[in-house]
Amino acid sequence: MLEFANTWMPFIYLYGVGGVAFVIGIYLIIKSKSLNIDNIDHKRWLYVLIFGFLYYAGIHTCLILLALDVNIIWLGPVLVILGVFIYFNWYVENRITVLEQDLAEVNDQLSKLVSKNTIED
Amino acid sequence: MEIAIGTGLDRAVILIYFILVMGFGAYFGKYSKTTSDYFFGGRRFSWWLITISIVATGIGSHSFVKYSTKAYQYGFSSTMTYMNDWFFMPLFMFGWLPIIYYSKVRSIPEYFEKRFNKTARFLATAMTLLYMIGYIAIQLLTLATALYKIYNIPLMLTVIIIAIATTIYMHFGGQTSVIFTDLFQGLILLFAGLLLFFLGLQYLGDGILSKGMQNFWSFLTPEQKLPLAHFNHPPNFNFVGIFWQDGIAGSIGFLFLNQGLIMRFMAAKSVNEGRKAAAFNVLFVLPISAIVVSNAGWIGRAIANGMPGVLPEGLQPNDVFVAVTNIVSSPGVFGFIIAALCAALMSTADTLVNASSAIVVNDIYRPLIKKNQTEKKQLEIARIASILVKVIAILLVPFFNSFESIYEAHGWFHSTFTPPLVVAVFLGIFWKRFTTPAVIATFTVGAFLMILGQFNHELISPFSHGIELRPGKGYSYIGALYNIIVCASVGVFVSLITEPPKKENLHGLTVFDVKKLKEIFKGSPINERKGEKVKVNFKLDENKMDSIRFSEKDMEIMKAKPGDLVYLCDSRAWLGGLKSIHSVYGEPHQQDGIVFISSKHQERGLFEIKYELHAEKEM
Repeated sequence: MLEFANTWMPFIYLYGVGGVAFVIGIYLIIKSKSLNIDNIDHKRWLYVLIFGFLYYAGIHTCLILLALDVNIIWLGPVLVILGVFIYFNWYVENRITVLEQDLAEVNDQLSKLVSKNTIED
Repeated sequence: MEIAIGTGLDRAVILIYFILVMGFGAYFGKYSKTTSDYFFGGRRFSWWLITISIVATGIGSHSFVKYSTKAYQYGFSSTMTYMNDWFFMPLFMFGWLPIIYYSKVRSIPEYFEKRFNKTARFLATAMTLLYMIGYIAIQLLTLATALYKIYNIPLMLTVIIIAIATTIYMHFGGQTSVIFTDLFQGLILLFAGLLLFFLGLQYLGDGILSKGMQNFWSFLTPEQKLPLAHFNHPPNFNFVGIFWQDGIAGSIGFLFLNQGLIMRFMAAKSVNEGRKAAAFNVLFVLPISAIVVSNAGWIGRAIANGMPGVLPEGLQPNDVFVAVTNIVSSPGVFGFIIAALCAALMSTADTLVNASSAIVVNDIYRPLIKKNQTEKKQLEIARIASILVKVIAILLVPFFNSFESIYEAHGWFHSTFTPPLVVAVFLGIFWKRFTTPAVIATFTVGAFLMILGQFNHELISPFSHGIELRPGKGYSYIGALYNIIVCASVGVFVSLITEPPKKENLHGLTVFDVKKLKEIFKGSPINERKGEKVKVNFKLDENKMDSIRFSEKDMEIMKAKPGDLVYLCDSRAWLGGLKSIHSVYGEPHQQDGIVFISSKHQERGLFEIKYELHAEKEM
């Protein structure tokens, strides 16, 4: 019989202490504006960083469940639904950011044209 | 136990492999023209090239032996150290990487001088060099231990032969050679490791893969299938100790202090490419690497559990890699897999030697001996330094050979030299209040307290998490937690009682200035407009300026203005940026699809007239 200290305790410690380090890291880079969440590329990186954390936690969870002989087939559809939801959310946010950037650029060009015409007038 | 030592065919395969790698490395030497090329590969490579070459650097020859041993003893938990590196990725990708890339430091000690003072740089130089040379010695020892059995050449002579072989291509090629040979060796490593797993599964299933997979799974006990070790037992392999030694100290050390790795990222064409390489490496390549280095042990364990009598009863865990390889592979294939072990050594050693010579030139020769020397002279010094580093490493081999095992030597080494550097660099980047006296105290007083802990185990026991104290050996991995805490405490305490550093002295050196770094790097305001890549042909222009000129329309597509930075590369993506340059946009002209460059640019980028070029605005 596997003990708790063999199975979930290391997992909780790993993602608890490691998770604190990870969250502090995310907080620091956002606070320092090194990761600028208004920038579309940076926002994508933020998603990648969070994905990476969940990805490793997911691998470890699956392996522990498999070692415990737990059937994890039900995890498949859950992951697919979660993936679709995250992708959809990411896609919509991206689209909105691109449209906002385009709008800002068009506004910029318009104001340049207006000021040029004003000077010519 | 006596292990079969291969056939003549195996020996020939290993020999051919050495010759191939030396030739490959020497060929790429022609791409090193300046010290920047020699050390950083000219900051031009694509992320995928950096990723694969990092694989070869990360997997040392000791990895195969070390992880196979643990995999044989404890099962899947041998992968722990390969799968705990993500926690510090935010700070690495958006903190440290832009700082080192944009501040144009050539070495980690140089960062210490900029952030603190010359004394801090000197201390960091000494510790980093010691760390890397020792690491090289361990690599040489591991491979020599395996090879001298195969060729029956005395151990020290084998060490010298390996050192000479790696020196040949390093000597001529520098970082460009290292990256390309590591690309080749990284692929070989991954292939050989996975081939061994495949052959092992087939062996377990009597030639049928699916049956082999089934047997593999059923032969392992539930405990051996767990991905993480028992929380605090046994003392020589437990989760919590390894988490602090490897997951925290090791990860920070590897990502933030490994000069070889840092130089790899600095060879990327941009910070974003460096981020891609780091993310891809940790997310996808490290889990595969974990399988590559551990699987011989897993297969060995499955054979021992399910097929008694195949492996000799007295098999030492350290011998499991060679024993399993020998059982599951045929003559020639055995030689090929041992050649992969050579690949692991050569690729790790070459990176470390290149990194050490970079430190010798940048942190000893330039600042202390000669300030203004020609590029040629500096290259010469770099090459001599790389030979010297190898000689010192060879001299250190007998010392490491005196440890009970390579694993122990490596563990001692890692836990002794990493914590003060880890604390110093981490507080330096992420805490503006961290002062110069504090960093010096971290290196000196911190090191003293660490040594004290080595002799007084009761100092470590409050941090032991219930790990049993081994009589006469003390605490092993969890000592890293004590070391980090004493170094950090000294650093924080001294910072708080000394005068804070002046704001202007920290400009561009902490994570809080990363957003300004791009502007400092460029020397003018950043152009953030998102443009597209353009395809162009080049024409030579005998303009003496360093800028290159595009048509007005092409510049509009790239959303670029004169004075912005541009990256121009050969359009053949598979070259990975080998033929490319960084430059500045000059005044536009009217010929669309044409870029005017000087003959100097053409020579530097190795551009050929028959191939189109890709251009993109950097910033």
